[in-house]
Amino acid sequence: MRAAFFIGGLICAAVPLAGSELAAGWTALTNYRAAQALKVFDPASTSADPAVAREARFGRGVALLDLQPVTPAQIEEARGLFAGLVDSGADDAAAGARFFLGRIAQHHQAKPDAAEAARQFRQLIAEHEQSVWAQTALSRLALLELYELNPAEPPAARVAAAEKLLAHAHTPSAESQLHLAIANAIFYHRLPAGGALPHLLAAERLGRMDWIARGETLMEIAELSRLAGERAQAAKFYRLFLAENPRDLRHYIAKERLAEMEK
Amino acid sequence: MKLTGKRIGFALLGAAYLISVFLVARRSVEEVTSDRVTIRISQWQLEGGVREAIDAIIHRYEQLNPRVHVVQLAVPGGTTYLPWIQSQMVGGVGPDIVEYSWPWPDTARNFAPITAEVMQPNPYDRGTPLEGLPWRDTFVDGMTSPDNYVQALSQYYGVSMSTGIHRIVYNRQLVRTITGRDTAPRNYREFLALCEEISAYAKAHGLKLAPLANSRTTHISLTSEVIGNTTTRLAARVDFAHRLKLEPLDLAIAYVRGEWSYDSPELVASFQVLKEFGNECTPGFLQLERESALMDFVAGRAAMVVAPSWESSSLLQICPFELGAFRFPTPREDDPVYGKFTQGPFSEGQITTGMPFYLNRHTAHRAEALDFLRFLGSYEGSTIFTRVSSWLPVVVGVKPSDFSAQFAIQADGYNWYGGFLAPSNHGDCQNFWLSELYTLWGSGGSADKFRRALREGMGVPIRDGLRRDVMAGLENVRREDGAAAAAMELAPPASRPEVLRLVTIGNETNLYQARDVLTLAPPMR
Repeated sequence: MRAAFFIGGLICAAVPLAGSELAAGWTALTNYRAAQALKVFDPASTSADPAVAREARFGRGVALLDLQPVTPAQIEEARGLFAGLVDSGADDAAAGARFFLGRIAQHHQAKPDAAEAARQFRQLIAEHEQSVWAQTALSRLALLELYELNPAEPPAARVAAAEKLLAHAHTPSAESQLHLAIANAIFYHRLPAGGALPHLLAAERLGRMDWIARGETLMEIAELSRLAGERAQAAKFYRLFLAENPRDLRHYIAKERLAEMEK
Repeated sequence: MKLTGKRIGFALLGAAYLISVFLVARRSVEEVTSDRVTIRISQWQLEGGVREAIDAIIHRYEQLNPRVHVVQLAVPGGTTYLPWIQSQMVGGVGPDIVEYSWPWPDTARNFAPITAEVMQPNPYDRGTPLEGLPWRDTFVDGMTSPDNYVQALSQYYGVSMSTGIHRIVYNRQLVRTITGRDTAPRNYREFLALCEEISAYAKAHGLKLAPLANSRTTHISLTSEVIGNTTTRLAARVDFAHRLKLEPLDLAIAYVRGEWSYDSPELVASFQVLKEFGNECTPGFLQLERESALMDFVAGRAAMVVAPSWESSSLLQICPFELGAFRFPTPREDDPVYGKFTQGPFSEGQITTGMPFYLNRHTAHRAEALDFLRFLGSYEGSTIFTRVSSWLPVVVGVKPSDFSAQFAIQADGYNWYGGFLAPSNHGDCQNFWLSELYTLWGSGGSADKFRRALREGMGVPIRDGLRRDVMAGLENVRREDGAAAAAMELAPPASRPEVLRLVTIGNETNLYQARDVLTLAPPMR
C-alpha cells in the first residue's frame, strides 16, 4: 500500500513537472515566437515520458506552422508529425493532431483542399466528439459546407447540411459559432433573411460572443424582428443594443426604429 | 605644451567622449539603482503643439505617479517613422507605447490587445462625468475606429487622441460686405446662392475672388461625406445582413454581384452634387496643395475655404479677419432636385479617430505602460491634450478649445459607415477614384464622365481588394491557429475553454465570402 502511494505520488508530481517543462514552449507560441518554442519542444520530444514526448511532438508541429518564413517543407513536416501522432494514439495530442491535419488542408497549405479538410474534421468529430478540438472543428466544417464543399448544390441545401452539425455541438461556444456561421451564410447567399432569425436568437441566448459580434447580432435580431412584424421582440433588442452600445454610430436610427415599434 | 589646432581638436573630441560616457553611465546607473521605472512612448505628430501636449500630459502623470518616468520619442512621420519603429520592434527594443496604425504590418505579433481593459472603467476617470463607464464608451465613437478596434484580429488595440473633422470656414467680413449678412447658409440651396452672390460680386468689381478655396487633399473627406449622405437610401437597399451598417467587404461583394453600380440613381445624383460643389471652388484646385488653398483664403482671393479641424488654431492666428464656420449642407429630403434620393439627418459619426497608441506586446513594464495609456485616454489626459494642442478631443465631454469648437462632431443622424467610393479594405479604390476626378472637375468634366470612368475601372481595384482580403485573412488564420492551440494547452484542465480561440468565426467567414465572390465572372465592360 505504501509503495502504491509512493508511486502514485511520483506520478502526480511528474504531471505538473512535465507540464512546466513544455509550458515555456506554449507560452512562446502565444507570443508568436515559434523559434523559441522549438527550443523547448525539441529536447522534450525524446523524453522518457511518452505523454511528454507526444505533447512535445505536437508542439513542434504547431510551431512549424508559424515559424517564419513558413515553407512548404515545414508544412509537410508538420503534417507528418501530426499524422504520426494520430496513428499512434487516441489521446489529446492525437485529437489535436487530427484537428491540425484538417486545418492544414483548410488553410495552411498553399492550395486549400476542402474535401480533405472536411474528411479530417468529420473523423475528428467521430472519434473525439466531446473534445475541445472537435467542438472547435464543428464551425470550421460548417464553413466548408456553406461555401466550398458542394458549390453545385443550391445554397439552401448547403445551409441544411451545416444545420445538421448542430446535433454534434455540446458546448455553448461551439453551438453559438455554428449558429452565427449559418446566419451569415443565409445573408451572404441572399436566402430569405428571416431564416437567419432563429439562428441569431439561439446564438444570443447561448452567449459566448465577443462584444462586437454581440452588438451586430442584437441589431440583426432587432431589424429582422421588425421586418417580421415581431414588434415586442424588435423593441427588446433595439433597447438592448442601445443600452450596451451607447456610443455606436447607429444609435440615432435604432432610437427612431424603437420609437416606431413602441407606437 | 604648444596649443595647436590639432591638439584642440583632440581635446574637444575627448571631452565629447567623456561627456557621452557620463550621460550614458548616469542613465544606466539610475536605472539599476533606482526603483523608478522609465517607459518610452513614440509618436510621429510633429505638428505645432502636439509634442508639447504630450509633454504636458507626461508632466501631470509623473506628478501623480512619481515612480514612473515617461520619455517621449518624437520621430518624423512620412517615410521615416514606420521603418524606424519596425526595426525597433524586430530588434526587441521598441518603445513601451507606440503610435501605430492598423494597416501597418505585424500588429498581432508586436502589440498586445487591450480588449479586457477597455471593457473596464478607466481609473483615471474617477470623479469625472465618465466615472464607472467602460473605458470604451468614454470615447466619442465607442472606439469603433479601425485604429482602435482592429477588425481582422477582433481585438481592441489602439487608444486615440484626436480626430479630424472638416468645415467650410468663411471670412465673415467679406461675406457681410458682399451679401449684407454674415450667417452661415442653412441648406444646400442657400449655399449655392451664396456662392453665386460671391461670383457676381467678383465679376462686378473685377476681382480675382472664388467662392471657395480648396485643394487636392482637403476635399477628400468632404467628397466622401457628400457621397455618403446622398446615398443613404441606396445603402439601406444593399444592407443584406440587416446591420444598418455597411462594411467595405459588404459593398465589394454586392458590387461584384451586380447589386449596385455607379449607375445607381443615388450615386449619379451624388456626382452631380459634387460637380456643382467643384464649380464653386478655386479653378484648378485638384492640382493645389492645402497651403495654396489657405493662402488664397488668407489673402482674400476666396471667401471660404475647406478646412480640417487641425488647421483651426492656425487659421485664427494667420487670418486678419473674423471667421465663421459651418458644416457643408448636403441636400436634404426637401431639396427639389436631390431630395428623393436621400434620407437625413446625417451623422458625422463616421469619424476616424487618430493618433492611436498601441501597447508593446513585449514591454518589460506592461503595468506602468498600460497605466500611462489609461491616463492618455482619460478625461483629464484628453483635456490637457486638447488645451495644449488645440486638436479636437475624442473623449466624451471634453470641450474643444475656442474656435475649434465649431468643428465639434455632429453625431446624431443616419450613417451607414461604408462609402460607395471605397468598397474595399484597401487603398486602391480610393487611389483610383482620386485619379479619375479630372473627369468630373477637370476641363470638360461632367458627372456623367466620372460615372463612366468609375463604371469602367472600379471593378479592378475592388477585385484586387478582395484578393488581398483573402491573403490577409489566411495570414491571420494561420498565425492565430498556433497561438490558440498554445493558449488552450496552457489552460489548467479545469478551466479549459469550450473551443479554441481561433480567429473569430466572423473573420473566417469573411475569408470564405471574399474567396467565393471572386469566383463570379467580372461584369461586362
